[in-house]
Amino acid sequence: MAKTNSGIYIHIPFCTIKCFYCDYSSTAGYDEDRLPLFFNSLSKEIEFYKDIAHNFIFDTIFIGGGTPSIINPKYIENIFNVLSINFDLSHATEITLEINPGEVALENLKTLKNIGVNRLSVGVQSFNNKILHFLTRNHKKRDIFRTIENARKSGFENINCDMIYNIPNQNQSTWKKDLTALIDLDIEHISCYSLVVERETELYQLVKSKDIKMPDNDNSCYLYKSAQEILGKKGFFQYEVTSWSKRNFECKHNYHYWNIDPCISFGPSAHGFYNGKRYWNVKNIDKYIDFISNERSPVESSEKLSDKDIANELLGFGIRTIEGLDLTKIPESKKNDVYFSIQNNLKKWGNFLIYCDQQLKLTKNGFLFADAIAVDLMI
Amino acid sequence: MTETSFIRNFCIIAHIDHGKSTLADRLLEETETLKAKDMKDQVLDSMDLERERGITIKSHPIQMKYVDSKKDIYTFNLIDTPGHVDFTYEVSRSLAACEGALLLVDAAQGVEAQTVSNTYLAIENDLEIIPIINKIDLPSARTNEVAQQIVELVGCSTDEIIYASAKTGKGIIDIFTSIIERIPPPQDRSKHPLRAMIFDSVHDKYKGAIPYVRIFDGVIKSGQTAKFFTHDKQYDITEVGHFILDQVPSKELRSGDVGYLLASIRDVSHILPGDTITSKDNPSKEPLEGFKDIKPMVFSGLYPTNSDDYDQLRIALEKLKLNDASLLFEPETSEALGFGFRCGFLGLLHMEIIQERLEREFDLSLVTTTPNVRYKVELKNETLVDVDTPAKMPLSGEINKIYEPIVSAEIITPKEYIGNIMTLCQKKRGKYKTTNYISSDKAQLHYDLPLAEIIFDFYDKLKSTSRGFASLDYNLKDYEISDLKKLEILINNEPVDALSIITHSADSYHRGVALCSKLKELIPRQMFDVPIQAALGTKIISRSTVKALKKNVTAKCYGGDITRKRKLWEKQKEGKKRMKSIGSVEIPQEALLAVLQIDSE
Ligand SMILES: Nc1nc2c(ncn2[C@@H]2O[C@H](COP(=O)(O)OP(=O)(O)OP(=O)(O)O)[C@@H](O)[C@H]2O)c(=O)[nH]1
Ligand SMILES: C[S@@+](CC[C@H](N)C(=O)[O-])C[C@H]1O[C@@H](n2cnc3c(N)ncnc32)[C@H](O)[C@@H]1O
Ligand code: SF4
Ligand SMILES: [Mg+2]
Repeated sequence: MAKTNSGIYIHIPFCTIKCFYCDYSSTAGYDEDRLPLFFNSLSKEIEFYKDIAHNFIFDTIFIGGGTPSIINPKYIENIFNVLSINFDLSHATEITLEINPGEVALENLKTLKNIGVNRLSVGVQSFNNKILHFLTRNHKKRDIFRTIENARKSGFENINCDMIYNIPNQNQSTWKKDLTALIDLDIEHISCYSLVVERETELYQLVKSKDIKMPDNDNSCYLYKSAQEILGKKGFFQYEVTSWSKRNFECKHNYHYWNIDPCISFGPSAHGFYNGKRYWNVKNIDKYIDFISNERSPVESSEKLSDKDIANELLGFGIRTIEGLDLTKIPESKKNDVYFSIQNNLKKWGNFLIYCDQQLKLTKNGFLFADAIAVDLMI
Repeated sequence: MTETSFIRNFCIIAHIDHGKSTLADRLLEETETLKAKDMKDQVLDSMDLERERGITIKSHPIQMKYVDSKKDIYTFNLIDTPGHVDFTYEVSRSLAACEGALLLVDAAQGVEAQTVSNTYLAIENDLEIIPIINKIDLPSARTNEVAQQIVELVGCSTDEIIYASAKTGKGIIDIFTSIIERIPPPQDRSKHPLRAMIFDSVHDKYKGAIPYVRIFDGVIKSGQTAKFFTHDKQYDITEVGHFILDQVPSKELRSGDVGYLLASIRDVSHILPGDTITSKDNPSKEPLEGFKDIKPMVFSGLYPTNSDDYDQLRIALEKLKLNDASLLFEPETSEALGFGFRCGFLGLLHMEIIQERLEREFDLSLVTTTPNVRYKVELKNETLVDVDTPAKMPLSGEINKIYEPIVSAEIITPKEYIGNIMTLCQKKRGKYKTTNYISSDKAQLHYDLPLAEIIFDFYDKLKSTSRGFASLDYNLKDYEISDLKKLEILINNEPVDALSIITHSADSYHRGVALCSKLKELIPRQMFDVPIQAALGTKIISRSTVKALKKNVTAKCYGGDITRKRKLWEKQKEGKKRMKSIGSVEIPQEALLAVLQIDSE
């Protein structure tokens, strides 16, 4: 079988504080003394996979979290060493690490650059101090500028900023100011996420108790369209529902998710996918360490995808990118069902959905309805 | 073959949850009818739905052999019956096959509404009643008080009551002794021409329709030709037998026996509960007394979500009807929903159960419309028409008078809730009749109430206003003139027949308002604004708008999101399959039943 291009994901579950909207697995603060134990476990987990590693071409690595920038880079360096012993990393051209503004020192950035990280993803979220405060973020506007400046000084030439919109009390003008400030930063990549009320967050409780009211759908639509317009005018190309970049700076790692490519993932709560199987690790850090120190796999559970599952994942995620979904990737046994579903949906979504030459893609306006269309396309 | 004097035919009757099926478990255990490994709680509740809901829906017949202290062997034919008010008809048919009834009363709850109604049914059928106080193991048991209530109800003496616990097995031997001593054996009329009463039936894919029969006269065996009183078709009998959890063949069924027969009966309409089977060769002249016609209380439309499934739905309904004679249906078309059936049910639980069985047992996906009662409408030209769906309500200009069904309701409640219940009944347009006391602290209130009020949210309100202690029984009484209006709902400016309701004038305004706002919640956003209006005649009394969907995208997306998102999408897709497109608006099933979710106050 031909080797497929694949990603590696490493989850670092530590943050300085816990943001009130965030349901990613991370703890506020950590015990410095226990870090070696955690990273030993991580290394060991990586070794568990060495036998299957040769089936894939790893072209991206993503160190996410959590906030990996807050730990000493020597641990990251060590993880890279373990990775390179067990995996062939010669094709890994995009190596991303997530950082928070104000939570990484210049010298650490330099170290990270030296050990091979070549892309930074910065959790900017907003430039408005009031909104940052509302989001319970740990940084202020000026931290953003300093961090980006330090990143440039350290030699990073590929920087992404994560932004959040659809925030209560965020009006159209604060969002437009955010977008302008972003453009002025002159970075390579921008992701704009609409604030989602996730269960098991403080935000969820506050919305439920009616202490916080989320903006309505019309407002969110307006903000999204202004991002499309403003970023588009300034040379940012929208290549996916939530992603904009300068030419050739698209995030290769995220493409693996949208293309339903394999991705081997490590760390507590990490979700991986290979050989048609999705698996996810235990969330709890102590359990994760425990399992591994007992020579047991930290995989909590896994799911073998059926042809139908694969077809549905391809449909739902494939249409999110500007190229759209290559329908030849649909499993043979489900092709008819998929064509039938597309035909049915062209009537309803004809203005937003383009189907030609075995490609199925959304128009720019279609991006607005990616999820609704995905639901209708499911077989 | 058991001599008739060693046969006892009886059923277990009680209010819901008083422990009938659990007592049946103990009787089956004690007689070793089932092997220990086959035993489980409420073993007779064999349908998936019964097990899930923990209630009996169908009557279940089963035969046991009991050896008494003198080593005499008795044959007991037991029928476990349901307790919910919707299934009273099921109880009454079972009673027709019996000489006696075990009347169970929960030691903590005491006499409740279906204790009373089922006792009366047993008395009407001339059955010997053995009163049993069950659950005496409960710490909250009030055995003496409950005994007084039973004495009052049945007219027996306290020593005739058995004190038992179906949970611990206490009192079971007394129950056996009483069954033998107090319930009369069936009469031996095996020399008479055959008369077998069909009291129930089931449908089997391979064997066809299988009647459950009680033999009153004569003997029935394979080789005979069965003849019926309600139609001319004759069938050759290929097997007869008894119920021992499954159907077990036997040589013959004789006068006094309860069992089943097989005759490759493909046309289900030939097996009517209440009909009498006799034999072609030596026919009886007169049938046995049949059953009272069952009157459905609520009507609703059943439509396949996929219109291609119409025929399948018809076949499924026919098959279910065989297991459930109380289900009535006839074809109906709705502008909004296409081809379907108007079905009559005994109550809302019955309706829910039929829908669920159709979906599970026949793999159908259905849309149901708002339940309605059946009105009688007198037209200006003095003809009287039945109207059981708002869509068929004549124009107001053509109507002279509308009559609505009234039930006589009996509510049993601890004294302290009388006030609350009276307020509730008043709000529901009830007419107070009388109160009598079952015991010093338990009262029985009699009201005349419009049936339409009962099927909406009366029962839930009754329970909440009495902290769960009040119980309700009702019977159709008659029809009364009433000031009723048709409330129409317009979606996207088109009237939707499946959503309109008939309501009392005094309630029409606030129901219209409540419906518009409920529908706004239940109808998902579409690609355009969807106006919702409530109208009385040509007058719009309320409106709301479902705003157009402008954006719908997942925010972030990482590895872990993929499975989760796919499952979420697939689930939403499933939900959409249950939607009906009315005009260009997609309406989910819940919206069609919105009226059941509005608070009518
Ligand atoms: N403590 C106690 N609980 C009992 C006894 N008999 C039955 N129960 C419980 O009462 C509940 C209802 O029992 P069922 O046997 O299903 O009642 P039922 O009368 O058949 O109910 P329906 O068929 O739905 O009318 C169950 O949870 C039983 O376990 C008893 O003697 N003592
Ligand atoms: C989980 S964080 C990890 C990186 C870093 N700790 C940070 O906060 O930026 C990755 C991104 O997810 C996005 N995110 C987290 N929770 C979100 C939510 N509830 N709704 C929308 N976006 C969210 C934020 O934009 C954030 O930058
Ligand atoms: S949003 Fe980022 S910084 Fe905030 S808790 Fe989540 S992972 Fe940590
Ligand atoms: Mg029962």
